[in-house]
Amino acid sequence: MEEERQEEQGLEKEVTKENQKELKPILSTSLTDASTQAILQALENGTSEQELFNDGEAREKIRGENKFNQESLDELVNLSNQGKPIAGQSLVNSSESKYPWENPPTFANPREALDDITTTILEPEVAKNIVQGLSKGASAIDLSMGILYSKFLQGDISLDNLLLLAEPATYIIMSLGEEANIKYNIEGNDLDELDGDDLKENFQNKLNEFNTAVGNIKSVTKQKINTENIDEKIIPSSILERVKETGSEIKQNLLDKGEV
Amino acid sequence: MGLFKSIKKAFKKVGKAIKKVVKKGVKGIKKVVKKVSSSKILRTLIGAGMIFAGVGGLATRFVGTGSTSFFGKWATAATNFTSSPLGAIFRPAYNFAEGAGQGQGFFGGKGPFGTTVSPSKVAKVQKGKGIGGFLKGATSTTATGLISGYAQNELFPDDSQSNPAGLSVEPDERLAPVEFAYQNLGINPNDAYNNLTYGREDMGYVSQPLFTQETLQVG
Repeated sequence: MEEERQEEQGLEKEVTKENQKELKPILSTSLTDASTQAILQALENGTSEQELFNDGEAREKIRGENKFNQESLDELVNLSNQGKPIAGQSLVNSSESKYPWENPPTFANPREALDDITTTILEPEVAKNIVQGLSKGASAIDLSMGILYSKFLQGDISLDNLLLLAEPATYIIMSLGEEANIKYNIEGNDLDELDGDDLKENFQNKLNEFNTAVGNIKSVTKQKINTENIDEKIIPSSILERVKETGSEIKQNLLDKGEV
Repeated sequence: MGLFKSIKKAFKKVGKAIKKVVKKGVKGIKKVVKKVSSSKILRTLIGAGMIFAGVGGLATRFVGTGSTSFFGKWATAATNFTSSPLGAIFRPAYNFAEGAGQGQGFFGGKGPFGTTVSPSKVAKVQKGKGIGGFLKGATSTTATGLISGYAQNELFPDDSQSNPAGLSVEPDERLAPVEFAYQNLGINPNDAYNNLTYGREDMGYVSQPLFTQETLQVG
């Protein structure tokens, strides 16, 4: 008995080994691309859609709609009219009092810089403000750029790192939005852009369903009607002749647009 | 054009590029999975991105593992990579830690990507077998130093040769069968400051802060 069991277990192991698929390398300079590859590979390797895309209870999302507001626009105009530096002003600054961004950055390595930015974003007070911003219609990219820009101005990161970290920083902000159950803008006012495709697809599917259903009814009815059993004498021949005579006229009247 | 104007211009360009690439990712997955809504795919994509950006682990500080929330789910995935096939797929640098030192994989000639997803291999890293243990002990080494150091350990176990720094290993015919993860991917691993890469084969996940690691005190 034990031998049989061992044999069975051995066979099972072999079968699972055969079923195991090789992992393809995932390495990309784009975070989205790497994530997409990983998800597709997980699906290819037999991970269920339920496991990958199930997000628990379906709750209605808070819409972070970007609403136009005259007051905010006036505030923005006021801010931009606050005065700008005179052209070449920075050139007369003392060479010893450099701006923070003119010094070597605190974090030269993008990974270290990303750790610092993540820690900043995930501070409770900052996270709260970000979530509030998202719920009021601020877009994820605008917020991430704001954070990165201020990090650059503080001298924490270099310009190169600012651009390199744009994608992961946006992802962190988007994940905060997801966690807070907000339907947020990614860039500008694009709240329904992704779902728009779904709506179009749903409409098309329903239209196709309707057409198929109507087509089915048509074909079934045609099959059921037996033309051989139709009693032609049920309508007097004089009436049929009259219909034939005035048929084209009736058709014309039905299609007539009438007086406009 | 001033510095800040050019930054503003670059912001717009980068912002649009990110949105474009995110939408492309969602559409790419949607082509395979027809019934799942785009917003659900986006959510999963962000979760995966969090792990590859190295933030999945950070999320565990805020949400307990095992939690069913979005963060919790992905935080669990980020910490329990090796316990399931799904974990192995999202595991960064998994093959590097898993295959090397076993006579196959990273420096064994078979290639780092030849390993299969197998739960039975899970405990190797945890038990400290192969490079898993090596990684655990080498907490104050940079990624490049770590790779070359390990290669030298594997290739010249008993030799009393001097160890060249970083990846600048002298060309040697004994190194011919060595395979390197980035070899066919067109990415220069020495370019740590100019490139950020993401994915299972990204070595950034085993790196320590450059130039700030502790050094041996002399005297």
